[in-house]
This record gives sequence, C-alpha cells and structure tokens, in this order.
Amino acid sequence: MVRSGSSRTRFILGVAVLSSLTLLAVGARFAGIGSTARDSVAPLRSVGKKATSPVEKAIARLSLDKLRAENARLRRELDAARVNEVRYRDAVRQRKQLLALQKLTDPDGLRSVAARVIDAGVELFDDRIVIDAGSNDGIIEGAPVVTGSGLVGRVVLVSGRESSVLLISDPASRVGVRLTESGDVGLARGSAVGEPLVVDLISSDTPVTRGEILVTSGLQRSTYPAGIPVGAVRTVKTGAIQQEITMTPSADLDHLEFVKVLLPTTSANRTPQ
Amino acid sequence: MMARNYGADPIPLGRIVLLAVSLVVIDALLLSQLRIQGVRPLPFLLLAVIGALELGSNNGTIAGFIFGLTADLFGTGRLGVWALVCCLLGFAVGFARDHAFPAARERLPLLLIVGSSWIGVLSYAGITYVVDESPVPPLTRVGVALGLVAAWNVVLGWPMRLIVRKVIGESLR
Repeated sequence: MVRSGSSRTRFILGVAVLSSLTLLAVGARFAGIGSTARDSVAPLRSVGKKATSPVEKAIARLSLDKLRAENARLRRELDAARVNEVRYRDAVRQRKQLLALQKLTDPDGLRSVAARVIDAGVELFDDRIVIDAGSNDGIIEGAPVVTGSGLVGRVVLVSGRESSVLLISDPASRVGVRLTESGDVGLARGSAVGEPLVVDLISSDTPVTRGEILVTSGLQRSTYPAGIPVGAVRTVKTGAIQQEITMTPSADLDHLEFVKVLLPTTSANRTPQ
Repeated sequence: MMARNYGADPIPLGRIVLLAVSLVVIDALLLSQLRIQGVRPLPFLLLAVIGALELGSNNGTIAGFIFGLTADLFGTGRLGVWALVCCLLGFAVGFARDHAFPAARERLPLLLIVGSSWIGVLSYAGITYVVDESPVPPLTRVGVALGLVAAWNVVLGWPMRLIVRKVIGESLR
C-alpha cells in the first residue's frame, strides 16, 4: 500500500508514540533486558572512570586556597575529635549493650562490599550514583550504602556487575533519624544534591543545637541499621507544631569515589525509613 | 519556498543502529564522566535532534525512537521515557527542517539545538512526574539542568553532526 506524505508521517509518528507508551506501561516486566545492557558496558564505565580520575585529581589540586581552608577546618575538627574520642569509646560500649538488649542490628557487625563509583547523576532529576558491584557480589535492592563519614543512600537497582544507588539527598529519599543528644526521632528527606536535607517530625519542645549529629534510628522495619551518622544540624527554626530543621549530610555526596554496601542479614523487602 | 519531502528517503536503519551502539561506547568511556553541577551531557537527546536535522520528520521520528530506546536500555530510569521524548523531538525537529528551515541541514541552527534541548528536558521531567509520580524537582535544579544540557549540546553539536553526517549522511547521497 502506498501512503501519501502526510499520512505516512502520521503513521510513523503514531507507531513510534504507541511503541513508547507500550514500553512505559509494560517496561518494568522487562527490567532484565536493561540489566543485561548495563552489565555489558560496566567494564567500559570502570575504564572511563580510571582514565579520567587523574584529570579530576589534577583539577582538584589546582584549587590550593580551597585546600588550605579545608586543612585549617580539618585541624580544628581533629582537636574536637580527640576530646570526643574518650566519650566515644565509652558510648560504643554502652551502645553495643543496648542494641543487644533491644535486638537491633549493629552496623559494625554487618558484612559489607566495597565498590567504586563509576557514574554519577545518571538521570536528570534523580540523585543517583552507579557503583561497580552488583548481584554477583551479593548486593540486593534496599542495601544501605555508606562511606567512612556516614550514610550515602540505598541500592535501588541491581544488575550482575553494577548497582544504582539512590542518594539521601534525592527528593524521593526518606531516612529515619535520631538526634544524638535528646534521642528524639524524626524523618530526613532530601531536596537535591548540594542542598541540605530537611528533618521533619521533631517536636517544638525538643532541644536541638546547631552541629548536633543525627544518626539512623534503625526503628522497626527500617532499611537502615541504627547508629549510622547521617548528618549534622545546619539550621533550626521553631515552628508551631514541629521544628524546621535542615541537616548537612555527613558524607560528601558531591565527591564520592569509593563506598561500602552493607549486606543486610535479613530480607531486603522492607519499607525505606 | 517549497518544502522538500525528505521523508521519502529510505531509512538507513543499519547505520542508525551503528550510531547508537557507537554512542553507547563513547558515553560509557567518556561522556558519563563529564559533569558540571551534577549535570552530564545527554548525547542521545542530541543525537535525536541532529539525526532529525539530517533525516527529516519521518526517518527522524524512527531514528529518535531508536536513540531514545538505547538511552532507556543503558540508563537506570523507566523504560520508554527517553524513547517517547526522542521520537517526538525527532518528529518536531525534522518537521521544522522540512517545512520551516530547509537550510538547517547545511547550517547547524544553534537556536534549534538550545530550544529542542529545553523541550527535551522539560518533556522528560513532565513524563517522569506523571508516570512515576516522582516529586517535582526544585525550580533551581530544573533551571540548572536546562542551562547545562543546552550548553553541553551546543558544545557537542558540531562534532556530533560531523559523525552523524559521516555515518548517515553518506547513505542519503
């Protein structure tokens, strides 16, 4: 059948749009195809990351002023950390006892897998990273991801050789948190990379100080084990019912290079909190 | 001025697939590492635009669909979003070339690149918001993404066009 120019155009556009809409509707059932496709380029991503990391480091070295300021800040933090170390040792001992009493999971006791960040910002408006470890390494969906500084996010998509991690700064991310001083629990939600997290559900009469550390609450059915540092209080504003609190993430989410994926000891099919 | 009917050209399907596969490799090796303010180039969006400039509305729609589907397959988002965005963009850019800017194939119209980048980003945000019920991204984030994606596409436009003309253009002569 020979079609005229305009009817051929309409036919082609119609078929393409219909195919796209069909994919949107049933695409989730074919997640395995995407997983295989991503696996096939995972080694290329690793090579690309290794090849470009010296350039990234060279550029970072050029910003000497920034490094000097960071050095001064780190020295101040080190002094404060030495004072806190003595308190910390005692607190760790008490915490282990309390976790055992409450039958909660101790994050220090979990198995973990180290992974390299091979891609970041893979989607336009999602704060995600891609790491070079997947189901072949024992990673499952929902597994918490951390650095030495604190919580990074959780695994949301796994293929054989790589995984996609939703950062805690993503607007879709929710993390149950606990104030270290008062012990009150709240819910931290992201807004965007580089932006502070917002902490809800902290009542107006709870004393909150700027710089106070928030850790994962690890409450029942939480994805994250208790006690992982999430961030430090940045601003506090007292509202009528609850306080308006913002928090700076403990982990440097803008410059992630290596992360650790905690392998939960129980089922991953839990509600993120 | 009479509009040319570029749509009657036979579609170089093999060459389009070759372009898509080549871009997957380039993207994994290099482009995925380029980021400013967390925004990286969207080479498949640009390829859909440049492909439509070369192929016109009919074949541009098909090429856009293939490039978008490739982006979906190798990305982590929902399957079908980029396919829909790129096929619509391929049609719109090809239609504009066929009927309004017949000289666009000879000169790379930067305004068209910038405009189509913005439409592509906003369409993507709109579709994911409707389909995934994802939270509305902050306006500042959308603004940064619009500016940077357009900038990346302008920078990568010329080399991408050279590659596309080399691979697809020769089949049309």
